[in-house]
Amino acid sequence: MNDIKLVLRNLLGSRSRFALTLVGITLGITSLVVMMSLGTGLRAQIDKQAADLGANLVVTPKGWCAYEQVKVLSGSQLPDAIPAEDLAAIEALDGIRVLPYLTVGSAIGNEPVPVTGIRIAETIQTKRWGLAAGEAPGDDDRAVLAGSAVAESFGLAPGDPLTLRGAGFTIAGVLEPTGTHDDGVLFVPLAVAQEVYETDSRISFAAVQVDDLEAVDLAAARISDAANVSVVSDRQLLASVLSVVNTVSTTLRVIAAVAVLTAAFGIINTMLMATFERRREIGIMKSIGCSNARIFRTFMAEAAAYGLIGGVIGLVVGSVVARFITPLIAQNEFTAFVGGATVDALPPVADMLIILGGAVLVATLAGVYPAARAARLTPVEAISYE
Amino acid sequence: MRRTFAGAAALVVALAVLPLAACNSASPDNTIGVNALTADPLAFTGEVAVEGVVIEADPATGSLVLIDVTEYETCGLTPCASAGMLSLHVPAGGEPTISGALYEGTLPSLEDVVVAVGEVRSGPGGVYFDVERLFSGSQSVMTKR
Repeated sequence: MNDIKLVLRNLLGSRSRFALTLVGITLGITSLVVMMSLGTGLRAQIDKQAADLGANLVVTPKGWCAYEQVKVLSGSQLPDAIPAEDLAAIEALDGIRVLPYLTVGSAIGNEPVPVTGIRIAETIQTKRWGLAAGEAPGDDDRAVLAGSAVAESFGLAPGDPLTLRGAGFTIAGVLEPTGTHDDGVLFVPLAVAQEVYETDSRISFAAVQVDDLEAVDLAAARISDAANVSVVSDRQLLASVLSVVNTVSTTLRVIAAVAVLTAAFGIINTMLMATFERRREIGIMKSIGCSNARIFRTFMAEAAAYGLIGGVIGLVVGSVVARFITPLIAQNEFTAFVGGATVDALPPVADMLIILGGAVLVATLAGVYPAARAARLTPVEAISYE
Repeated sequence: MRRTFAGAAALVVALAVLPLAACNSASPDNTIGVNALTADPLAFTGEVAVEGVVIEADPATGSLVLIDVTEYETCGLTPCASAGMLSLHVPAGGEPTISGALYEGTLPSLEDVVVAVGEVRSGPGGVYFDVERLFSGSQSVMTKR
């Protein structure tokens, strides 16, 4: 009997034990794939949100904590905190282009909906939005430009009436999908939003594009001098968000690693039981000339097979489960700031291969002790069993 | 043997799933956050359930102030700049609410995560949230008499 047949026969000798051990490693790998998918998805989403913001600098009120700065990327509701005079002072500077935002909220059918006040024409041009239906509202119109997702969710179409803060609006147009949180937002002309939400002409934050990319730091300094605001570069903002996400991602990976480690102990247990049960068989093999090395190899191959089979099943199951689970996991306090769009990215193929290799390695290492015990048995010890 | 195995597997799955299913079983589903409500209170009609964290509680007057759970997770009892605050009036005795209501039960404590079920109403003093029931975790802690 060749080694492969021997390994397969041994593995399938006790099918329920084989299945249960396999379930352990499969669950471990599945959880690892799901957690890595979440981390990868969040990072991809943040990169996309940052690119979509299209700003070299973000102007925020002084005193905002990192959490508020992070919420700039997600388009979450933020306070109206930058007064009109500060905005005017910033806009008076040369070499920059300013896009002010007022992020507020409302509800349709008791479902909360983000509402953002923007300069409609400028923002459409900067973000290169396309219109799927209707037209863009003018800067003084009591009209709404609906993101594609929010329009679809609530069945909004051009001409539909809408009430925001007790004021009557009309849906003027619906945007084409952008794949960012903008899809879930109702956009209102800035001046109208400021009036309806009674912000006394204040805005939440401003995105700034700098004409000379070599002079971004200089522009930041000029803005800080001109107005009582904080200025953060897109790189700093991205680094700040990614540091939070990396912490979350690392925590998730540690949790998944514990699951894999638990599965490894399951393999050790299974292999030790197999060693014990097959003492007589090992004794016979040794007495007919089978070397210690071959017995060691056979047991190691069995353990590795658990890792390989469980790893492959775990990758497939994890990839499927991740599509459904990660968007749900992403809706929590730690990651909700990314919000809006679906988090459904799978880890890169290279990471998948590393996971599979890791599963085989962990399973093989788990088999070392049982294999060594099996190889150390003397024929007399083994055959005298029973 | 197979039936025993299947039964054992079903038991394990059930034991894993039951605690998840039991979570928040008594408190309402579909809650909204404090920030969402305070952004445009009058946009919410009929009965709504608002989830928040207690940052002020005065048992003498039955006053509570809630902030959004995400704000609390990040900034603790000192709310971030973006924190909306929801003031509730749920007196167990003494001065009743603007709608003349008194409540029975115990006022939640600081840092409790609560769900207030009620309606947004307009009164002489402005817009207020008229609480019907208050949950802390999965327990109903205060109810309108």
